[in-house]
Amino acid sequence: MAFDLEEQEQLDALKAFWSRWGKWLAGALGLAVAAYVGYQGWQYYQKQQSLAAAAVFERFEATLANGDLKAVKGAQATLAEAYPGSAYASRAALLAARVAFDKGDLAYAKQQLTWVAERSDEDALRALARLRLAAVLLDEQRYDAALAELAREHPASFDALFLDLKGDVLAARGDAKGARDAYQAALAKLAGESPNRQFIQTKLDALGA
Amino acid sequence: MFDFVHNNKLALQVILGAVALTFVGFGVGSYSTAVDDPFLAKVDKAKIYKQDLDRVLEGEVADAATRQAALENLIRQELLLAEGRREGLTATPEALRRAIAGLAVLQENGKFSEARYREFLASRNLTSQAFEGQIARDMLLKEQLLPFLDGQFVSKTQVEQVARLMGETRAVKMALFRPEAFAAEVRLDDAALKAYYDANRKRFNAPEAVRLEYLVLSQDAVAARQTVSDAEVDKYLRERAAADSSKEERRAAHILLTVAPDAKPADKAKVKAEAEALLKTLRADPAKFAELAKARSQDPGSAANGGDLGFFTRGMMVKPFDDAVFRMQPGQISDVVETEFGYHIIRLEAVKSADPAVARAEAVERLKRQKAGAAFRVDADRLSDLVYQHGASLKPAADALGLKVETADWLVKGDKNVAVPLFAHPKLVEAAFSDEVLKKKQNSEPVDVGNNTIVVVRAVEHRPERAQPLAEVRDAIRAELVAREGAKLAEARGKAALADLKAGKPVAGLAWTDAGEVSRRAPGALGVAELRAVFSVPAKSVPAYTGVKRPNGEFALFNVASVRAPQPASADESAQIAALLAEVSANAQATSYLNLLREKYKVTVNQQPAE
Repeated sequence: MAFDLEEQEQLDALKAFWSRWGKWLAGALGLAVAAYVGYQGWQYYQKQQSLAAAAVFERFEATLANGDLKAVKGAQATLAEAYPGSAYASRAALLAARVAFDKGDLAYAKQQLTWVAERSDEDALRALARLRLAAVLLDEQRYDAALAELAREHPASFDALFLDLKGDVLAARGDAKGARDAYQAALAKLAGESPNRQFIQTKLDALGA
Repeated sequence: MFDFVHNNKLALQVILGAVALTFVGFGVGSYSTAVDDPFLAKVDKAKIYKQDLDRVLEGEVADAATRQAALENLIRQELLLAEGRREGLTATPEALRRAIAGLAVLQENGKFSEARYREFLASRNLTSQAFEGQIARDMLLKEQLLPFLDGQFVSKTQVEQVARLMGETRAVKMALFRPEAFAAEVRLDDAALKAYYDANRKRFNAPEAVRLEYLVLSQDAVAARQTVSDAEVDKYLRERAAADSSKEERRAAHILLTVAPDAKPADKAKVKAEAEALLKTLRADPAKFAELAKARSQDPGSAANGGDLGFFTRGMMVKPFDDAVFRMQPGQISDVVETEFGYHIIRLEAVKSADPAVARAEAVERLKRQKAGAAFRVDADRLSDLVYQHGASLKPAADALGLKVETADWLVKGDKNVAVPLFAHPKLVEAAFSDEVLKKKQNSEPVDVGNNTIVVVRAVEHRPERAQPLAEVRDAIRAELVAREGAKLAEARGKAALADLKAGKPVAGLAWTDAGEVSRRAPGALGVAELRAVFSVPAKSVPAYTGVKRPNGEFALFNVASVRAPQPASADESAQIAALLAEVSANAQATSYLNLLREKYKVTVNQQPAE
């Protein structure tokens, strides 16, 4: 009998446990299943979005080969409208800006670069866009606007590039001292054996010691 | 001056070049199968294995620095891939299909061939999944580099700035202060020599050296020993007659009835029927071939000659034609042969075989080599056993295998100029200086030096690294010190002269030479440091003097006589500079990007890729 009694006690304990915690356990299990399914669904959705954006980007790339700016603009607009948050939209904007720059459409180039600088969620692409935006502004002799772009926040690994271009802008404006300081700062930021060192040094030397 | 462009190009090509490489020279096998293999490096979740490195190096033996650079490059690629995937870059199945279909190696007559693809995968021991993964990876890398390459441009202002830098010219005179000129002034006493000797004793040691005797077993030598009977040669020639027909020339004539490439089946059938009728006539009266060819053949090149095409070798004609011609007997007339040009009726006129004596000699060579293959392996095994069993001498192995024990001159450790090229082989040098050979005085293990050649060495005489007494190296030390002290004196005198010239004082005894007009684009004889010195003189203070120490110890004094402002750059020059600057920027920006990614993702380098 003792044996049965013990068994009965265990059973009772289990029942009590279940009536106390059962709801919570079931709930937790349900949540875990829902979270897993949700996560998988999200992954699937993301993958589908990426593939769709990639397909549109391929059509955009095809327009680049022809070099017809109007077609490039059209394809870029389609991509930016349908998948503005995708990595492809920022990349296409950078490529479209280049085509526009080559064709002398600086307004469109600036618009695309500004879009990347403000909308992309990739630090590096934002930095690239700002560098190129400043280069266009330099050609327009809008030195203050160019310097303002170069003063914006950017990843530290781009410091030397921003300072180098700042030196170019200041040199173009005729501010030899400012340019010297910027080039010197750029040299100080360059990592070790950077191949850019000699180029910046040459520009610095040309300003006279 | 444009060294920096070159350097930049290199760094970027390291990434790009690798992408292009996987497209052309896809190595054997891919993606490690052994998952628990110790990996070389890990980037985020991706592991880089030794096999991956070997694949990049295409199985070439590479030194440690090359392997290190290749590993570094793989790490860069994985960083770009990790970020690309994270950002949702992906190759669509259609794009992947197109990329693979576009690979020239997988094409036949300009079109993707399924059979070629299967053959390609089989020959490289690859699954289509692995290969497609590899192509998708390359596509992703290219996409990641797009913003840096195709999105790159350079402002016109910067192009003009560089054009001005490159175009400015300066007329320069130069006077040199050479260290040799001051040798007589260098005072060296014995104490100074002794002090230098003591401080650099290790450098003046005579390196370790060994005098060797050695055995060479090569398949070529084994082949030369083989004998081949006439019967064997005859048999070989008979069997190979078909395969060797590539050397044979055949002369054929043909009658062509052309069919347009886009002809309808009905039209084709009509032409074919005509050809069949023509063939019937010819079978009845073969002598009319030339006449009919003149009248009917639509091959303008040959019709006038009675269809004669002259002699040609196998593979020169389109395949169906080729196959037919090389199956026929002289005088025979073929059935109707269809090619992309239309329908042909062919007559084989003559066969010109390769020179029988040459063919025979080649056959003998080939048979000897065939026989030698097996014999060489047997000999190699015996050599291995014999030099191990009789570890104290090479003679038993030499006698047994009919080899000659050769002796070599002193082999000096670290000496790159060896008399016998064989001893430049690193594995052989390693064996020559191994403990087995030097300390235990045994035969070395057989060393495979490539090209089916095996070498065993043993030491005859050994000379450990030893210090050379001061007396022996006195002259060398003196020369070094004179050069060093002379350079110091040259620099001091040069600087003093420069100071005098700047102060307007005359300096006697300077030998000025005209270095002509130099620019950053055309620096003439000036090195980087000298160019910098000359162009660092502000234009407004010219004429002026400057000076700089050269890497060879000389001190160069410059008189910058005049400055000529740059001409405006031509459109061509501007375009050239713009292209160069775009490349420089692309590389600098890509480097910054990679540095950013390196902070973002965890990179573990597990092992040095030296072996």
